[in-house]
Amino acid sequence: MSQPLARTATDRLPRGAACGMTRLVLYGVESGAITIPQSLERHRRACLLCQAATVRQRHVMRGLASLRQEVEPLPYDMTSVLDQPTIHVADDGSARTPGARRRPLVAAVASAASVAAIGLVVVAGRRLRSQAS
Amino acid sequence: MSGRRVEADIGELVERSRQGDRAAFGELARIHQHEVYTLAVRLVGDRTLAADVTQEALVRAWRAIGRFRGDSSFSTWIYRITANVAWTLKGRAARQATYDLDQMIRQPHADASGNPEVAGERAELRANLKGALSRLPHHQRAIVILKDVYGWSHREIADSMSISVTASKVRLHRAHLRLRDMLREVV
Repeated sequence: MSQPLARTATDRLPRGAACGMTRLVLYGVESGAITIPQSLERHRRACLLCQAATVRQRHVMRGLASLRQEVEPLPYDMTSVLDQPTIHVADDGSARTPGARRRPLVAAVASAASVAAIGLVVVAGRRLRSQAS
Repeated sequence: MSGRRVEADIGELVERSRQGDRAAFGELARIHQHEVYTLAVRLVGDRTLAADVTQEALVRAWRAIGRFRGDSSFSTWIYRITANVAWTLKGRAARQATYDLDQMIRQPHADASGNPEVAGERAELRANLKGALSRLPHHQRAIVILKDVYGWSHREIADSMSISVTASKVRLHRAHLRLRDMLREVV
């Protein structure tokens, strides 16, 4: 048994306006964008036209959910792409394994760190020499 | 075969794939390719492009399977990859998406109700819904498909489409209103 809702100022809306507003927010409630005001919820429970609109809306939502069960016919076996050697073999000819794409990134970072270290050593050496002279 | 058994088998295939077993990943791909292709068709609205999306998604999934932590199911994970690939290739193709409605409506669909009248009504509703979906703008259609058909959360949709949760909710609401108007005569 549903609980009675508190009365608000929007209860005084003309019937047609309340129906229009209720039907406008029905889908908003479904999409999570809107919380239905208490006065409109009370109207929805009492109005047969709005109840019918609610039933139609649920019918549509169930229809959309039922599309999940349908699958499109495959034009060809999509997994054939996995048999191509280029998917599994890196540019240098070595076998590619999951995670192998990160190796070039690691190598680049290591190279950059090496260059930076060499630069630091050169700069430090120059400073030492200039201080000694 | 029971659903639990299938899940256990998929779990085993995922684990073997993570260790670099190509055959195991091939089997996983064969199991999921229909659903991945279906999602791709619905997101990009073009069967040729959807085939490219599916293959690219499978390749990306294979390359990333080592990083799959199992926080979600494998199917959810590969759907996310599919959606990301779909946005990328769709943007690259930069062409107007249109469903091949005739082909989709001709497609037979088994109905579990066993009642020809109910099955006919459901098939008609689905055909009407597909027609209405095909007339939605791409960014609205994608959200309806991901939320109402595939049950994604607004957070997941927002992350995938690089938009805010609020934008996802607003777009879905606008799409629902359009659908309501388009289906007014038939539902």
